Amino acid sequence: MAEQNLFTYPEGWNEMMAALDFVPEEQREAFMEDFVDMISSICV
Amino acid sequence: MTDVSKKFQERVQLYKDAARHKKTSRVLNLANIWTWKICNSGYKLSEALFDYDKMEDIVCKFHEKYEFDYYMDYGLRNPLRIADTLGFTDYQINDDTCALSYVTDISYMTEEDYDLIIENYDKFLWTKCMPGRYKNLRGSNAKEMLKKAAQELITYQKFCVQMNSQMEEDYGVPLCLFAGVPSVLNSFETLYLAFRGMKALSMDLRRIPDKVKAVCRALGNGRAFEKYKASTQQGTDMHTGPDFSLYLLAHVILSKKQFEEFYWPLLKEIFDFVEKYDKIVHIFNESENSRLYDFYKQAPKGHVVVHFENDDLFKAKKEIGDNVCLCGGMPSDLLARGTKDECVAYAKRLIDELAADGGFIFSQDKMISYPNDCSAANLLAVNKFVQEYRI
Repeated sequence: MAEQNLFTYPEGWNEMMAALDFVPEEQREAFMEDFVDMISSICV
Repeated sequence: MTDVSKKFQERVQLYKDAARHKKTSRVLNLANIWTWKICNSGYKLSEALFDYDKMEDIVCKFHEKYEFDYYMDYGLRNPLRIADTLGFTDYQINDDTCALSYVTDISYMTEEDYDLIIENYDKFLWTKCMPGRYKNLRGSNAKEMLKKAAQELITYQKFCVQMNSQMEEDYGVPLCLFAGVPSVLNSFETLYLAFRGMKALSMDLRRIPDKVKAVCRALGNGRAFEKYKASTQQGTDMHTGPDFSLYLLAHVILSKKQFEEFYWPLLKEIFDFVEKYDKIVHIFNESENSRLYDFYKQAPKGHVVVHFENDDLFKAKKEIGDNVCLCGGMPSDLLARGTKDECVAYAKRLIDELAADGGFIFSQDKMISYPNDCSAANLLAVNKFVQEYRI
């Protein structure tokens, strides 16, 4: 059930950002912003 | 300097000179070729779009055959692997007809979301747009799906860098215009293409125009443009053709009056920026645009290249050719159904009438995507002519 709360802000946002452990910590915030921006407006 | 380096330098200089309205010895040939290059490659569309090694092979062999000077796309336009990881299903691939098609319209935001976008854009993206757009994320493994998508994004970004580097190092071709040089997608385009869709946005323009304007003001020309502005320096980059690119697609739903009201402030900011920072922007304009020429007359000369899709470029040259460098002109209808001689004669007319005093880049008018958009024999004949013809 915890997954259903992933799309909350800022709690779920921060939880997702923390899960991106393959991105260096100092770059994670900028990456998360670009990532969400990109997949929200992706035009395939 | 190697031959490849010389070609690279020549191509960059030709682009800059055309944009600056300087007379050049030959005209630059830009490929407005998209999925068409996959159609005769020996690979299926469904294979190529999901396999970066195959796409690399297609792009390189395509260049070796046609030898364009510049490309809109190196097979980077359709990042389906990322969307597919998230269970995005609003598209169809038909390998028999080599066609990639989409649902006719989208709407991933409601009328009430305008206020949230202004209040907190990230919150809107995360709480409304993402679960609305990717229905599979409503399930129990959303986090793992998103992690995979983030890894796919990194893989895609590496492929973009690799393709652009390879085309420069092996063939002397500068950064492509899509996913090579920075691309700007302004707030009105984002509303149209990604959030609200054609139908709902068209109605919003009439019912809640102040909300649409407020979002356009709040998001402006988008985060990519803000980041570009923050990181760039005065002067055009002599390692690329344009410094950045811009796509006008959403203007098709706007009258001239609506364009002035909703879109012009965004475009005017771009014009002011390129003039102040001595940059060059390449703008691709879908559809027919003559109702917008009064706005293009205000473009700073030497800084704006405009690629028109359906416009009569001979008329555009007379009306706005003093202000902007024109790009395009070669009709896909003729490339698809004309004879070689007819195609070459039309290409000659374009160059003679549009490039005599500079300010013209040769390209196909429409985005060449499907098998019947173009004949390979005609394209080869036209490219040979454009490469050899001296102005």
